[in-house]
Amino acid sequence: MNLDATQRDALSEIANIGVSRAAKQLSLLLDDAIDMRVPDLRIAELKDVCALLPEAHCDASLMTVYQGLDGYISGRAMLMFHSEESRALAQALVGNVPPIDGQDMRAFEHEAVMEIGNIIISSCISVVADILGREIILTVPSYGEDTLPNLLRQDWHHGASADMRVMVMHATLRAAHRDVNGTLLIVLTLQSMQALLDQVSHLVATHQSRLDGATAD
Amino acid sequence: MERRLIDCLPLGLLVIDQEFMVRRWNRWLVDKTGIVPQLAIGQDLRSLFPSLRNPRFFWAVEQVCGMRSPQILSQVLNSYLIPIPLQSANRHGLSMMQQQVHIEPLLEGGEVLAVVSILDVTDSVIRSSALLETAHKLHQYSNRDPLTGLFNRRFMWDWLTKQLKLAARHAGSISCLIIDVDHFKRLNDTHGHDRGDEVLKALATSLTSRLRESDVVVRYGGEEFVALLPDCAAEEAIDTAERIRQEVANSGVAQLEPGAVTVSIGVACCQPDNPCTGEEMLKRADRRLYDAKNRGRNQVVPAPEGEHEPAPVTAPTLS
Repeated sequence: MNLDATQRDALSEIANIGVSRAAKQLSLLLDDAIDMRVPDLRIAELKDVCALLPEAHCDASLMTVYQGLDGYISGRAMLMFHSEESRALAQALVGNVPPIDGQDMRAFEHEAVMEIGNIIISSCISVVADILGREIILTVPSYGEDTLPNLLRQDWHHGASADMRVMVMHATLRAAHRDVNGTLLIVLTLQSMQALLDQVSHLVATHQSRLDGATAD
Repeated sequence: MERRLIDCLPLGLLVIDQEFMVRRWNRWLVDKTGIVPQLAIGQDLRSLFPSLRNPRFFWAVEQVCGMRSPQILSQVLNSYLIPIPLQSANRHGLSMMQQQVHIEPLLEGGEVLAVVSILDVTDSVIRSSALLETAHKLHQYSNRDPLTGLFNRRFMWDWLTKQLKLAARHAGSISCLIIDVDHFKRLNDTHGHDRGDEVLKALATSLTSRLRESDVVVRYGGEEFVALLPDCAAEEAIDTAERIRQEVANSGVAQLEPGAVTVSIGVACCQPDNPCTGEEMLKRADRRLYDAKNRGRNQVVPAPEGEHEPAPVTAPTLS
């Protein structure tokens, strides 16, 4: 399953609308100018996701906020930060992070990261639902810290199947003049991913024919 | 049954519609806010609490009712949702109950309502801020020498690395003085170790008070101190060292007669025309301290021959 150029453009645009809505909410919440971009979007099989992540992310323990997806598409949306990045995130966003090293810091960060993840995931998914005109139900956010392969295995109600597809998006969040890099994954059943791509193609085609119609007039 | 059930919960539970109109209000909320269900139900939550102007909450309710997307409002980022003053004053500077809030959609009669549950996390916030304070203190202690209260070597290297980078960026200078008590062993043998400790403590106090706030004084070894002076060029550092030397020699340190305690000082400087690493600066200062000892002690040796720093001001010639 590959993305053609139109699908990729359309999905990138949807993702960027989603994260910019999230950025607006984060700016209000944190009273600071926050900007967010998704510069890159790809689709892979579950087993190949590691290869698409920054090198250090595959074996490392990642801080992850995830929410289950149900309704028109089913699967899971996950926002992941390398622990170094999440510390930078907490520092950039929350500011007065206490001078503690290493592990102790994590407990403090994870509450903030969880809410931030919740805002980003729900903004993105609600844009997808809006644009597709379909209902997508999100579960309550959960938090996990583990390596990516383990995170991808955890807590599936129906079990993750090998033929699941993953939309991998690198997300860059700019706050307090520094960039924090994270990865947003949308893990979907093969059927859901196919439905999503079909719907996106359909939208693009409708839009295109409207444009063509307008030109013909 | 349902009403009795939500009244049993040890947390606040309220249900609102997308216009913020209250539909359910449990007993916990009555206890904490003093507002009875008859007064709450049918009212706009924002009119019950005029201070509730949190855009995050408004957006969250929009997400829950519009998209059925559950939302969490953390204590770290929001402190609290419903303003509930704390009964006992001064609980680690907190005046309001700290809350963790979950908002979930509830489909009822074709309408999506928002179920808002409010957990009181004040105690854990207080506990973690107490822990953070302790951690902060421990962090401070781990950088200090217990006898003199001065910084220790561990702190010095961290600080020096950062300051040298800063100095390099701003083309600034950092000077270093290594100050060693002359004949400290003899002093200890003659007056006892307690007096020896008194001497070290008195010197620590005197050094700290002589230097600028931005300077850092470190207990480097037994009777050896290091003073690091940011934004201080060689000439100024030598003057400072000489002032310290004279003052120690002329005052009665730890109730000993003036002159009983003297110090030798080696001076080195990292400056834009003579850059170096922290280790190199310390090594240079140490070599000069060694020279000062060899030349008869109670003196300042700024730079050995061949290095382009000003000539010694007080050190007698070797001849």
